[in-house]
Amino acid sequence: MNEQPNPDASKLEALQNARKQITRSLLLAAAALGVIAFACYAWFVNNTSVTGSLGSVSAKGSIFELASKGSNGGQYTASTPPEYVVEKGEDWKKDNSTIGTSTAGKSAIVWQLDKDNNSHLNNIEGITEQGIRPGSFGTLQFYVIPQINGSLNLQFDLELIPVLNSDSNLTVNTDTLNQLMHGHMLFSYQCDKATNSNETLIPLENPSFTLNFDNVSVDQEILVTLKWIWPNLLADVKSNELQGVCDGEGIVDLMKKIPSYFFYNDGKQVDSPDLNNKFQEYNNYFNAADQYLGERINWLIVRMTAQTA
Amino acid sequence: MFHKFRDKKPRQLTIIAVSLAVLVLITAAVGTRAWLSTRRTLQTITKVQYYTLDLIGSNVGTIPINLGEINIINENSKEIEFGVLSKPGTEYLLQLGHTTNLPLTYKIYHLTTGENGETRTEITGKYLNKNNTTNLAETEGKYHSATYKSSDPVQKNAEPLYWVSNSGQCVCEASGTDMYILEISWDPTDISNITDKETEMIFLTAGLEVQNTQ
Repeated sequence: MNEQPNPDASKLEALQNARKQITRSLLLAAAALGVIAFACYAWFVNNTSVTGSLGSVSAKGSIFELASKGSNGGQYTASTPPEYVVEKGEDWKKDNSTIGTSTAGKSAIVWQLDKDNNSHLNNIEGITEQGIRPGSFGTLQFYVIPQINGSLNLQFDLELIPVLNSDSNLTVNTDTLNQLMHGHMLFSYQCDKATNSNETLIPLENPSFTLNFDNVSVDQEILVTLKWIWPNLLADVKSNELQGVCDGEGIVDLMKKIPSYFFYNDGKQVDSPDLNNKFQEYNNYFNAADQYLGERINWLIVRMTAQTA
Repeated sequence: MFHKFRDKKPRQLTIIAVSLAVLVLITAAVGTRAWLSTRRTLQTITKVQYYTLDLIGSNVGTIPINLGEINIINENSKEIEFGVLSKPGTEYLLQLGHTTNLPLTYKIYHLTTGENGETRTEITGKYLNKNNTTNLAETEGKYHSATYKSSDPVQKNAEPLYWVSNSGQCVCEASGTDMYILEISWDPTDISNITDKETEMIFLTAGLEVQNTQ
């Protein structure tokens, strides 16, 4: 007589197997979590040069800070709309002397400026020109201050934020405005201490870049320089007279790929330019683009955000 | 808690267990990364000061420029000098609007200075609401609503005529400044037609050839 399988027994066996698997998986997850926690803890403990206790480092919450040098926050004029003024950062001291203002503990601070840094951009002592226009150019500098020893990879996002002229009754197409702004206000970056600073023009369509640093040390600042220009003439671009900000030939190539970033024809689509045979036509579109920007934008906010890559 | 899973098949239970483990791991990883990837921002602001075209006249840099008064006695024309500032190579249009109280003729000359002295070149153009025989501003009220923003009738000589230069006539010189002369003339034998009236409104504007409206 054959023994019939007991259905309850096989169910019980399956259940026991499942219990084992769940227990095993949870143990595995707990072990992985333990490893991650241990690794993070070990990572901090290893940074012996970080001042303060582990608690104060975690309160800082960043493995880097940004800083800028300048005599004051004087890039703001009396007529700057107060809603666009961000707070000043904290003094960044090194060897008991103040050498800049850092973002420590702040998400956004005023970019400090002086005569050598950011010429033409703002109302700074020693520079009479106020505001920017086609033909303006200058530099913007800032410092990365590592809060770790070792390697550091950072992504930088450049934002150009237009503050529109509220007195103007001209219509504004946001896409057109943003594209023309990025095509006419060109930025490049340079950092001698980065291992990958070969590319210089900050991309127009996605204005961000990364810098990789090897062997950084806590509080040893790293200078990053941005150069910028608002080209005056299409002829300046064609003849590569761009104050060393970027390569004119490269910009002409970009004009062929993304003409809507450079040319404006009363809202109509502009074809890829033929600057050899139709220079005057595209010169008019180029100037109309500057006019489009100049008539609509009252203030321009320049913002640089860094985060770990 | 296991009795809730009693009716599940072993494969389903395994999937649930693995999913839970993965979720815990992802949460830990994302939490750690978010903590490390704090953002830091520097920000500044600048004024945008820009014009593509500006008119200069007897009152430099003001708009409208002051065209001054016309003295008709012992003269048959008056010349008013004005300039246009722009980027070299910029093509633009000159536009003239005037009422028709007085029998005046308007011409615009481009002034250039070379080795042979000063040269005048007449800027060609056309009236937009007047042809050779008919004043369309009077007969059809052409551009009346654009001028007055209403359909209410006005005295016929208060309907302005609009003149615009032909395309390609005005291209900014390398210096960035173009000088012009607006010549206003009249028939000296017909002074009575002028002396009986006193005011003419004249508007002079410059604009890019490429429209900038959208």
